[in-house]
Amino acid sequence: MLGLTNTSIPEAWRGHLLFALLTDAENINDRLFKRQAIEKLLRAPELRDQGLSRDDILLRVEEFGGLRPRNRLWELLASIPLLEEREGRYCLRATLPLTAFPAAGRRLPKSLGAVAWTLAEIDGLFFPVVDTLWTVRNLGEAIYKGYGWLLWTADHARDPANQLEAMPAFWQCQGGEDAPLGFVRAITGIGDALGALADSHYFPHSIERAKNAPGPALDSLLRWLLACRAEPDAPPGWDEAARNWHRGGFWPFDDQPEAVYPTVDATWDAVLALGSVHDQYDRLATSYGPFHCPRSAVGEALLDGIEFLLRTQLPAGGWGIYRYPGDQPPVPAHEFTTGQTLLALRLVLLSEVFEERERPELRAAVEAALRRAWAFLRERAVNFQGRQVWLPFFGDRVEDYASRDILRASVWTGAGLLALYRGLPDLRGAIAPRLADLLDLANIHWEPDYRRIAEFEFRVPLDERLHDNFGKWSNRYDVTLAIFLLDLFNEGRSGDGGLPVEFGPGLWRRLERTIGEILREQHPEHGHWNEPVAGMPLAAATAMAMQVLQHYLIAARHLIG
Amino acid sequence: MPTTNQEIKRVARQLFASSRAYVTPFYNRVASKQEMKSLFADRSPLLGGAVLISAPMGTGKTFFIDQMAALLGLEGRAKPLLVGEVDERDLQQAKGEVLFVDEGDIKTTWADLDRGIALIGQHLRNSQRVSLILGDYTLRNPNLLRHLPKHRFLQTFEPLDRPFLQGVLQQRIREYLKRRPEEIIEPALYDILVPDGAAHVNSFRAILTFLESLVRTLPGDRQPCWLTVELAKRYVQDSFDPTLTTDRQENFLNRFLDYLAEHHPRGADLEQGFDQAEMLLIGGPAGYGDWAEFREEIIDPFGLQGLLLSRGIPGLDADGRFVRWPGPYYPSLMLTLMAEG
Repeated sequence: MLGLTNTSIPEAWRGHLLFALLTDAENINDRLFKRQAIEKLLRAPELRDQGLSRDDILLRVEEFGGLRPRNRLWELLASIPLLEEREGRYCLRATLPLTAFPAAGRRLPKSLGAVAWTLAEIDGLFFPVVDTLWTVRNLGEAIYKGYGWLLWTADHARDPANQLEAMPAFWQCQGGEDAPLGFVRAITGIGDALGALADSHYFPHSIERAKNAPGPALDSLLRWLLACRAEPDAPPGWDEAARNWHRGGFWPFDDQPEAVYPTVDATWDAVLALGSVHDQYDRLATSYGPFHCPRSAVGEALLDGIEFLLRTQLPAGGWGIYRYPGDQPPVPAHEFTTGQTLLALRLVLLSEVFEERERPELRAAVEAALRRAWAFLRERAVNFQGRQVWLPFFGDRVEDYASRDILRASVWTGAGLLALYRGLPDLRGAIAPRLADLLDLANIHWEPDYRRIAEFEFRVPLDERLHDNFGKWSNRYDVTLAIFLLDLFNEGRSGDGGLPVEFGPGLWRRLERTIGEILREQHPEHGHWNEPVAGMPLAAATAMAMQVLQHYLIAARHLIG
Repeated sequence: MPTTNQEIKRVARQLFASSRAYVTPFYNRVASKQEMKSLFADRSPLLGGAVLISAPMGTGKTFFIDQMAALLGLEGRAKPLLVGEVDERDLQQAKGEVLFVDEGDIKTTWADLDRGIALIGQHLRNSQRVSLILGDYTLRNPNLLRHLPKHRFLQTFEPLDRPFLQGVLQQRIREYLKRRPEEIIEPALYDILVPDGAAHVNSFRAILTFLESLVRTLPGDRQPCWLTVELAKRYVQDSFDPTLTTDRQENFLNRFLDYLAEHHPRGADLEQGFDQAEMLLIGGPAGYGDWAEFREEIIDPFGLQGLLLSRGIPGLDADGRFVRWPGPYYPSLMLTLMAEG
C-alpha cells in the first residue's frame, strides 16, 4: 500500500526554503552572484512599475558579474524566477509560486502545489527589519563606549609622539588601534568632540562614568578649539577691515579645505561647544580637573563667535557658508547652515555670558537675529502636499526635488525652527503648526534606509567668490531625522503643552529600527561610529549617534510617564 | 627629509582621491582651459549646438567642468543631466544658458544613449541653447552625432601621461603634507602606471585607486615611502583573483600574460594596442576560433572588469549589438603587473 505523508511547509521554514531555491546554482560563486543579483532586482523600482529591458537589467548586475560572459549572466538571472516578461520588458512577479522553480520537481505533492511567496515576503527575506530588541543597559553601554572613543582620540592627539597639531577629521580603523588620517586639524574633530563631551551632562548618561579620565582631553580640546579662531591666526595680508569682519570666526581647516576665510559652519560648531563649556566651566573643572584656559577667555571667544554669526546673517535673514562684505558677491542661504546657526544662537540665549561680560546689548541683538530668521523662514516656506516645507538652498520650485530631498531640507531647517520655538515664546503659536507639518512630512515620506546619505554640499569661500567646486559632508539621513524627531517629541512632552506631537506606532517602529541600526554599526570594541560614505571613524558621526540614543532615553521616560 | 610611510598613509585618502567626495586642488589642463575660454568667449556660433568632451571614464572630465563652471554659467547647483535618463521635462526645466549633460558613455544602454542624444539635439534646435556633453569615446559615434545639429569636440583635453601624474601627486603632497614634495614612486613604476603608448586610455581613477590600495599595504612606520615595481608586483600577485568561468578564459589569460611578458615588458611598445586579429591570434591556441565567441567570453567581461582597455569608438555592430569595447585593446595596469610576475 502506498504510504501517504501529509506534506506541508512549516511557517518557520518558508524563508529558508525560498532562499535556497532562489540562490540554487552549480557552484558557490554563482550562488553568491545570484544572491547579489536578487538584491539588485528587488531594489530596482522600475521592475515594480514599467519594467526594464534585458540590456538594462544586465547593466545593473554586470558590475559584480566578474568575468562571466553576458549570456551566462542572463542564464543565471533567468534561473531566478523572480522576473516575468511583458512585451519585451521584465517586471517582478507579484507572487512567486513554488512551481516556478524547476528544482521543485515534477513529483511535487499536491499539497505543495499552492505554496507561493508574495513580493512583500521576498523583500522581508532579503531586507530583514533589524532586530529592535535592546535594553536600556545596551543603550547606556553604547553611549559610554562612544564617549570613551572620543576621549581616546583626544588623548591620542595630545601625545607628542603622534605628531598631530590637534584632532583631525578622520581616523582609520584597520584592525588593532585606530590611527589618525591626515595631519590637518578639523573643526568637526575638535568642536564636535568637545561639544559632545561637555553636553553629556545635559543627558541621562554623562562622561562621569567614562573609563578614560576626561580632564586632560577636555582641556586640550578647548585649547585646540580656541586656536582655530580666525583673529589670532589671521593671514598677514588682512587689513583692519578684513580683521574686523572676520573677528570671532573660526577656521574649518580640513573640513572645508581651501576656504580662505573663516566659515559660518565652522563658527556655529565652535559656538555650540564653547557655550556648553562656558556654562558648565566650574562643574567640569571641579569634576575633571582645571582648564588652562580661564573662563573669561572662553566667554570672550564665545561672544566674538556670536558676533561673527550675527555679522554673517544674510540680508534676507538666513545663513550661508560665508558672507562677503557688502554682499559682493551674494551667497545663497543654506538650510543646514541656517538651522544649525539658529540652534547655536538659541542655546547661547540660555547663557549668562552676556551679563557676566557686560554685553546685554548683544543678547538683544541675538534675539533680533532670531526674529529676522523666523521672518525669513516664513517667507521661504513653500507648499508641498498641503504642508509648509523648505527646499534645498531655500528654493521655490517644489517640482524640482524628490520628496526625500524636501524632507531632508525641511528637517535641517526644522532643527532651527525648534530652536526658535524654544527661544521665542511669543512666536510659539505661529511656529507650532509648522513643526506639526514637518512631523506629518516625516510620517508620510520617511522610509528608513540606514545606508542613505544626507549630503551637505558647500562651496568654500575663496578670495572674491565661492569655489566653483562643491565639497560635501555626509551624514546618515536616518540619524539626522531621528535626532530631530526625538528632540521634537521630547519638547512636546516636556514643554508647556503648546506643541501637541503625537507619534504613531509606525513612526516609533521606524525610529527604533534606526536605533537598532545605530547599535549594530558601532564598533564593538573601539566604540566609534563611521562617516557613511568612506566608512572612516568620525567624531561627528559618533556624536550624532550618541545624541539619538540619549534623546531616545529621555523619550522613553516620557513614554513611561 | 624624505616622506615617510606613516605620513603617506595618513594622507592617502586625500592624496589619491579621484572622485568629487574630496575637494582636491586642480592641476594642469591649461590648454583645455584656454580652448574652452576661446570657445565660450563668443557663444553665438555655438547656439543651438553642443560642445563635446570625449575621453575615457575616470580622466577628470567632470572635475574639469567644475573648474570651468563660472565661465560657462554653471554656477550654483549645477548638477548635470544624464544622457541615459534625460527626458523632455528635465530639458525644459534645466536652468542656465548652458545645458550640462554627463555620462554619454558605455554605462548606458545604446537605446538610451540614442534616445537621450536625440532628445537633446531636438531641444537644442528648438531652444537655441548651447549644450556641453561629457562622455567616453562613444560620443564620437556618427550615429549619435547625427542627432546633434551642430557639434564640436574639445580638442585639447590633455591625456594622462607621466608629467601629468607626477605633477598631480607633487601638488597634493605639497598641499596635504605642507612640505616640499619628495618623489615617492620609483621611475620604473611610473613607466607601468602611465606607459607613454597608452596615454589615451590611462585613467586617473584606475591609477589613483591602485596607488591608494598599494599604500594601504605599507607598514605605518617612519621609513621613507618608496613605491616600487617589486612592491606593486607583490601586491598584485596577492590581490589579483579573478573568478574565471571557463577553462578557455583561464587559458587565454595565461597566454596573454606570457605574451605581454615576452613582447611588451612593463607595457612597452604598445602605442598601437592590439587589434582584433592580434587578440584572436593569442586567443586561438586557448580554444577561441570565432570572434563572436571570443568577444562574449573575453573582450566584454575583461573590458567590463577593467582588465582590458579599449580605444575604439563604441557603437552598434552589423547585428545591432552594442559593442562597448571595440579595438584597439590595451592591457590594464593589473595585467601589466601580473605579466611582470
